[in-house]
Amino acid sequence: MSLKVMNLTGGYTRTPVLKNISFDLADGELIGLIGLNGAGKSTTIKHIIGLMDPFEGQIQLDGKTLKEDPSLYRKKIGFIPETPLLYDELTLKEHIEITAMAYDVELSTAMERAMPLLDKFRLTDRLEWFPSDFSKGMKQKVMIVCAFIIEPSLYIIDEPFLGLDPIAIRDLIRMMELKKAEGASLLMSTHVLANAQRICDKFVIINNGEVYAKGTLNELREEFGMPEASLDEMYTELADKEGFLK
Amino acid sequence: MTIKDLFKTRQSIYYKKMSKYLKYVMNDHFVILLLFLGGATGLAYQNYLETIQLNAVLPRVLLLLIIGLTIFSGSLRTLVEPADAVFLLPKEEAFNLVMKRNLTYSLIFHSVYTLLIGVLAAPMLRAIGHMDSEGTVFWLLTLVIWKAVHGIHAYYALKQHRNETGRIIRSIILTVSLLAVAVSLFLSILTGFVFAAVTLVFFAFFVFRYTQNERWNWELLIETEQRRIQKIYGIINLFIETPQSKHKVKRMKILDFLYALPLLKENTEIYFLSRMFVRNYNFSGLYLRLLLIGSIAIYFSTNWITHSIISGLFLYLTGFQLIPLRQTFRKSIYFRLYPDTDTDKIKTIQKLILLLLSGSTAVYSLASISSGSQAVLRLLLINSVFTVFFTTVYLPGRLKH
Repeated sequence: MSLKVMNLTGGYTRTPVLKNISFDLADGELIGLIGLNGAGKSTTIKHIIGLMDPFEGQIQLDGKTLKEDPSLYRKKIGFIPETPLLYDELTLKEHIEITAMAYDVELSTAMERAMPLLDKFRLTDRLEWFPSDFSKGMKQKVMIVCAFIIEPSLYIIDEPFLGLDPIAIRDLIRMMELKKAEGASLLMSTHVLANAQRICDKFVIINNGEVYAKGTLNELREEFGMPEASLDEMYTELADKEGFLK
Repeated sequence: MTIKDLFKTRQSIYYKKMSKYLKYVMNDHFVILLLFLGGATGLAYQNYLETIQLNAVLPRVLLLLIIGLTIFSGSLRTLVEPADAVFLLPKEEAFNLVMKRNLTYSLIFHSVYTLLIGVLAAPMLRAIGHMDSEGTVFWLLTLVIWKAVHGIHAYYALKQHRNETGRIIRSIILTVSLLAVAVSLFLSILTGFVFAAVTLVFFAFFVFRYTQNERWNWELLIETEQRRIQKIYGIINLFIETPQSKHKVKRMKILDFLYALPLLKENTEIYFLSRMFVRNYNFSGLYLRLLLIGSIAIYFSTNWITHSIISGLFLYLTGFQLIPLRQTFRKSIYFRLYPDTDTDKIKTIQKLILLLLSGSTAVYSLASISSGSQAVLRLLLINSVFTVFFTTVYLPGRLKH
């Protein structure tokens, strides 16, 4: 079992944003975290990567919590944030270097892993560029490259498709599927439900800081009695019916 | 809320913020340094005035340079924000009035320091016998008028016109004002004044009557204002941490050899910090400026006590103003995500500052070569003791603060 989120309650101040969230993510599995703006997806992610401390509950990665072995725990996670966060003063190449340094990957290995990705994203000529020279989509690509060169066992990707061009979206999906086939687990939060339906094995639907439903597409269809519905149809219908918007 | 109110609110917020930051900038050591430097410069100026000869040319050339720089410096304070290009676009007419107010405010502010420079320059003009005491009034008025012409030009430049027209107008204004200041300095103060007044009348007519219907160049407005604000924050950030510190980053490939130092490859933090320091002009620029000014001051002073005081002061200033390096770690989430959790960020900053101050120590010591090699060795010893004391005793407490 790769990632285990157990009864997670947490938030920014004393009032919890997340209430009793539980789900598991197995090796070689891709879970889509679905929910409206402000539902608690990013907050859940922040707890998993260790930027926030749970009020209650536990998060285990391969049986260990962050507190038990912070270094090992963090090494297993590759994180791609929703808005690209890069160092203003470092070039693209140096972003790869510093990532390699931080995650104890040999520099030559890191570059070897990076080159095909850079090639795919048409960034090979831009190794000397600064983030300020990049468009939003390019920055996102740099984030993706940096996460993939550490070859973590858990990929956490917050809104991966925003700002990417269609070719890059296709390539990213292929890369994610490849990693999945190699046995890595992936947790992805997204609003692009069509893509999510295509690639995710399971879904965790979060509303108002709680897990509203979880399971495979078929399990969800069964649970809500909508046998033919797409994820998109199901989600909007549920949101209307259950008053998610309130 | 009208646009006028909007900008009034912005203005009061702006001034509140600036006065808050100014309090931090004018901290005790900085005020002492300013008094020290001001006193020294004043004394040197007074000595210079006594040696000055009647009808000397050099002082005029010097003044032309200083006055030129004073007049051409400074920009309009518009308080325009990036979102204005979207939200205020339909309200250009109301915005015109706001811009006129902005112009007035800026002119008043710029006139104050222009007058100060003018007052300081007056004794020099009297010493060379170019100006009597009645002339002083015209001299000061001339300067303020030129400042106004440039303010109006800055206002005009923010409107939409063809690139070429803008360029021509700019060169005309530049040439005419430099020429006219030269007239004031070399020919006659009164002629210079008339020259200035006539230019102001014509140019004001051109801008406020002839081209008043031209529309604003919003992109330029925003860019100019952002640049102005960043310049201010660039200075403030040398003293305290502010949330607004965007800055242009330069690659400086030529300095890449520096990163080969083993110390700078020890961990991710120093890897990042060293590059950040070099490429962020807020930090490297400050370091170089202090290094240069300090070295010159030491080179031209003669006894070892002055050497030590100046070195100590500049080493302290350099080290003290590098303390905001600490904030760079807070800004990035990555240093909270990287697996290596045992690193000591304070130690990393301490190491970098030690390295930099060691560099300054060496340069300041070498700068005293004008007083002989013994002086160099003595200063090297004193500076090294100071640097070690600063980084190991004083700094850790400040960084934890």
